[in-house]
Formats: sequence, structure tokens, C-alpha cells
Amino acid sequence: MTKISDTIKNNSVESRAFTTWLGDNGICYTEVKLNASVELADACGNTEAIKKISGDRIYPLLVNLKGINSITKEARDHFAMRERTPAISAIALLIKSPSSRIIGNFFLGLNKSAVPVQLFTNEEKAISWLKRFALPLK
Amino acid sequence: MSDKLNDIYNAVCRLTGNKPVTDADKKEAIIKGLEKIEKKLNQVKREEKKNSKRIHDILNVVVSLANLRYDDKANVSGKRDDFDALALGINMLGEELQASTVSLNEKEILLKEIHHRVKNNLQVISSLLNLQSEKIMQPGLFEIFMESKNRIRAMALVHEKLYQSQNLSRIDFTDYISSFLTYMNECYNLNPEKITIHLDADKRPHYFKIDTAIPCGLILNELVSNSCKYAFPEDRIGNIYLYFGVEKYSENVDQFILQVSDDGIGIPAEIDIKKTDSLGLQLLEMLGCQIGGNLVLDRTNGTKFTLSFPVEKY
Repeated sequence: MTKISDTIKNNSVESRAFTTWLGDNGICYTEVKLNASVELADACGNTEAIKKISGDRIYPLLVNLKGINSITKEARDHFAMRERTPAISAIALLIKSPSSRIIGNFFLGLNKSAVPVQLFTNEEKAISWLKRFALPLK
Repeated sequence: MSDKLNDIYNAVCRLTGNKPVTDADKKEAIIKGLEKIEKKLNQVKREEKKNSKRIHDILNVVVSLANLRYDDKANVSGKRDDFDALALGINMLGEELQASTVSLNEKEILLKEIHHRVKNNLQVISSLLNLQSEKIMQPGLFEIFMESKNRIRAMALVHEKLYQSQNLSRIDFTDYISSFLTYMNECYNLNPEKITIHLDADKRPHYFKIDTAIPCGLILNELVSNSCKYAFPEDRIGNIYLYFGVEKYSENVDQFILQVSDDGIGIPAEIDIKKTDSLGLQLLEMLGCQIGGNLVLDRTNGTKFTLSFPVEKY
């Protein structure tokens, strides 16, 4: 079955560790590349990519952590910064592997986000939850 | 082929997934199947050995964390299996713990610095009062300056003890008393041949938080100052006794006793300490109430002030 995220990867921003794009369903997607070890530069790049894609609008964000291998403390701290303020209204963290489960739970437990954050193992359920925070498309 | 051999053949087939062959080849198939099983078992053993090494690696890091050492890291193989997740989690926990410890140490240093600065500022105020008092000609006014200076020094001493203490939130009041008496001796330039201060304090440390230490320090200052100033006029010879300890209030409740007495001339009978204009005596009442204490004056032989207040466990 074709995943929703596979159908809308137009105008994506590619970086060493992430692929980020805006879906036609009003949800912003960012996917960690398979076996990526996320460092501070990757985290900063990701924030910039989301800002660039969002423009002056606020979107809910789906973070696909399934492929993540590890993440440095500096990168975690960057994502935890409240003043980072990328244009996000909610975050769904998609997890599957044991490593992604650990990292996802770290974000929930240690980093108190300014916006609602929830963990999902199912992409459809994650999108359905995120849609509650999506603004109508222009 | 015997039934027994046939059973063995079927079991080997089930274990290896081999398909049945003719009777003639069955013996050969059993040998090959057993070799296959042996290979698998050796592989499992190797895997177990590897996993046991990874568990050992993770356990070593947990032991390091338990010893509050945060530099050790568990190896993340990149297989993204349960062992990697455990290693990753334990590494991340270590990093967070290290960051929290650094942050705690920074806060502790900052708190020490604040107490140090408060003490320095109070000492500056005290010195300013001292300097200004040199220009005062009226004896009454000079006294007021000196009293204020001593009160400030009593508070500064609490902050000094706080930044010197291991736990920045409390001080050992027994230690405070002995430092305070050294200061009082210098301040009033007491002649040891005429006035002797006798200290009888509990040898055990008794820790007070700043909320208790400041009022107690001020009370102590008022009581000792009072004896130094008024008990022995015209070069009288005498003694000041200071007692500090814990006594039973009731069967299960203890209370602190801070007692300052002297064998001097005593407080004039007409002075009612509950209704007096003296700032010092008013302060005693006020500060005593602040710590939930009870102040009693005994005038039978000189002056004896006894302050009792509840023991708080810190």
C-alpha cells in the first residue's frame, strides 16, 4: 500500500540526515534517513528547512524517526529549545525500531515541548491526530 | 529402516526443514541434517557470546553511572536492535545526568557567590556606619549606630557561615555562636580580667536554615550586647553565661534552649520587657515570635533570658 507520505514528496528539502517536505494535507513531514546519526548541524538544518517550507504559516509536524540510529546531546538540546520556534502547532513522532522508541520517549520525557507531542507507531493514526492541529489550506 | 531410525529422520527433517527422501538416502540425510543443526547451534552460541559481550558493555556503563561517572559510553553497533536501543538509552541518560550535574554545580557556585556578596555588602554597610559614627558627638546617637552595626554584623555572619558550609541552605548554629562570641569580644573590647564569657554549648552540630539562623543570630546579638553594655557599669567584675542546647519539651517533643545570663546589676524592676520603648527588647519579642519561640526573663540573680523554640529537623 502506498503511504500518504510517499505521495506528496514534492519540493522536499534534502539534508544529510533528513528529508523535509510539506504535504498537500496541511502537514509538514520530516523523515530521518535510514541509519542516520543526527548531530547538531543536522538539527539546525532541519529547523531551517521547516522554517523555509512553512513560510509564514504554522503546520503540524510528522517526524519519522523509524530509521534513526542515534542523536547527539547537542542535537537533542537544539530540538528541545522552546525559543527555536519553528512554525509548528503539534508534533507526532513516528517510531518503530527499539532505538527510535527510546529516542522518541526521550523527547517526551526530558524535553518539555511548547506544543503537543505524541508518539505513534502507525503513520495513519499520527496523521489523523495531527490533522486536528492543521489550519485549512489556502 | 527401523522405526527408531525413521523417527530420528523425521525429527531431523522437522528441525532442518529438509524434505523426505528415499529410504536409501535417509541415513545420509540424517548425517547432513545433524551437521546443519550443529552449524546452527554454533551460530546461536556465537550470537549469544556476542550479545553477552554487549550486555556486559551496557552493564559496565550502568555501573559507571551508579558511581556518578558519566564519561563511559556503551557501544552502539548500528544494528538498531534491542541492545542498540539499550546502549543508546543508557548513553543518552548519562549525557542528561552529566548536564544536570554541571547545571547543579553551577547553581551551587552561584548561590555561594550570592551569600558571599550579601555578606560583603552587609559588611560594607557596617563599616560605613562605623565610619560615620566617628563624627558623632552625641553619645546616645553613637550607641544607636553601634547597635545597628552589630545587628548587621550578626546577619553578615550567617551569610558567611552559609557560603562556607557544605550545604548552602543551612548553618551549624553551635559553630555560629563561637564565631559570634569572638566578634563580640573584639567589638566591646571586653577586658577578660573583668568580664568573662562562659560558653556551654551542645557539642553536636545543630543545623538551622537561614529563616531560623538570622532571627536567632539577632536574638543572640541583642542578649549578649545587652549584658556587655548594661550589666557591669563602672568597671564592675562579672560573668556572662551562654547556654545553647536541646532539651525535652514533652515526652516526644524536643526544643532548643538559648540562654544568656549575667551576674550584673540586672534590668531595672520598672522595665516591662513586653511594654518597652527599647528597640532591642522589642526586637527580642518580635524575633522570638518569628521562630515560634518563647522568651522568659528571670531577674532573681542578675539577668537571665531564656529563649525556647521548637526543634526542626533538617
